[in-house]
Amino acid sequence: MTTLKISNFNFSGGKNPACFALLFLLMTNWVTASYAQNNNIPNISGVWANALLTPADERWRIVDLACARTGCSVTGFNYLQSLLDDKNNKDRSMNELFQDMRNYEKEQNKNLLTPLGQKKQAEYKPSQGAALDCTPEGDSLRHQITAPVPMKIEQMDDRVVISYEYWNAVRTIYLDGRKQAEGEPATRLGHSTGRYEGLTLIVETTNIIPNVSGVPGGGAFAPSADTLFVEYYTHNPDSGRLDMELTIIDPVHFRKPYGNQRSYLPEPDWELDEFVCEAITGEF
Amino acid sequence: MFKKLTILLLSGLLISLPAYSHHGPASHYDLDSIIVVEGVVTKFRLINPHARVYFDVTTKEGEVQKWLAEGNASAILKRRGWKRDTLKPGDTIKISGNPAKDGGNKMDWKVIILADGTELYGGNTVSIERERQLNELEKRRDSQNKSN
Repeated sequence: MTTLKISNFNFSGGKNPACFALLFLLMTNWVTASYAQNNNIPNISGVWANALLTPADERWRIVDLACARTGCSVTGFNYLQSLLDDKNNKDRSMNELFQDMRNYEKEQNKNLLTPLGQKKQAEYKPSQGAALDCTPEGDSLRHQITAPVPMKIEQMDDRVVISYEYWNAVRTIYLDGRKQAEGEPATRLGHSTGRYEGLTLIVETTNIIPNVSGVPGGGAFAPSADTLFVEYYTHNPDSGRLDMELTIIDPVHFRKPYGNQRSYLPEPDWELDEFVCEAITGEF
Repeated sequence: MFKKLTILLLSGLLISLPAYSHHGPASHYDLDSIIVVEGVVTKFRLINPHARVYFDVTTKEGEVQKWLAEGNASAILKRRGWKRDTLKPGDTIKISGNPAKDGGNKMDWKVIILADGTELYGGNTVSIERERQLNELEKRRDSQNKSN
C-alpha cells in the first residue's frame, strides 16, 4: 500500500497558486517514488532522456551514443557492442564498425517479411508523413515510443503513466491486467497492460491503429490490426540507466518478431516541454 | 545565380536511410549533393518538426533571393543548447546542406557557420550527422580503451 506522509511540509505560505502547483508536483513525485521503494520494484519514476539529447554525459556507453540518432535493432545493438568489445577491432574506425553493424542488421532481416510484407514494402512511396504534417493521429506507436525526445514515467499502485514530450502524448499502462470492453475502437496508443518481473517493467499493447511505420530493410507500411507491441524497460541500479527493448509482433507481415533498442538516463532537473508543431507549408 | 561554392557528390559515402527514420529528408532533399550558400538571416524558428532558418541570398547580379534551411526538431535542439535567438535577423551565415529536389531555394542544413567562425550543427540529415557523431566518438573510445 502507498502511504502519504506530509508532516514535513509547511502549508502556511501556500496562498500562491504556483506554490500549490509546486507542492502537488513534489507530492506526486514523492508518492510514485515511495511506491516503488515500498513494493520492491524498480524505481523508474521521473524524466528520462536518450543519448541524442545529452551526448556529453560520461555515463553513456559508446554503443548508446552510436545508436542514439535513429535507434538500432536489438540484434544490431548487441552486435555493435560485441564489435567494440573485440580487441581485434581496436584500430578500426567507429564508422567502419557502425557500417558493419548495419550490414549485419540487413542480413538478419533478409527473410523477415512475409510475401505480403514484401509486396507492401515494394509499393511504398515516401510522402510527407504525419510528423511533417503535424498530425499526431497519423503517427505510429513505434515512432511515439522510440522518438529521441524526453519522456516522464510515473509509477502508481495500479498503473504506470508514461508522458512523452513528443506530441504531448500520455499513455496509461494498467497493472491489474484489465481488458478492454468488446468492440472498443483501436487507438493510436492502443490498450496497454503491464507487469514487473525483477528489475523489468513489461508492457504489452494491442488494439493499435495501424498507422504507417518504417520497416527493417527500408520503406514503410501500416502494420496489421493484430500487431502486438511488447516493451521491456529494465533498470540498471548501478549505472542508473533504463534500457528499453521494443518487440513488434505482426504475423501478417513479419515472419518473426523484430525489436528496437533505446537507452535512457534520468534527468531529475528536467520537465517536459510543450511540443509545438508547425507544418511546413513551403512559404518563405 | 546564388553563390554556390561547392557541390560534392557523396553517393559513395551515403547509405540508404535506415528503416527507423520516420520523417527523414530523403523525400524532399537530394542527399547525394551538398551546396554551400552565404546569406543574411531574416528569421529563425526553433519549432517542431524541424527548426527553420529563413535567409536572404544576394546574387552576383544583385538580386535578393529568399531561402529556407531546415534542421532538426526543436525538441532535440533545445536540449542541446539551442535558443530562439541562437540565430538573429541580420546574422551573416554560411550554410551547407542538401539542396531541395524540386530546385527551389530550400536546403536541409548540415552546418551553419557564423561570421565569427562558430560552427552550428543540429542538422536533420541522418547519415551526415551520424558520420560526424561517430567521428567524435573516436576520442571517447580511445580514452576508454586506454583506461581498460
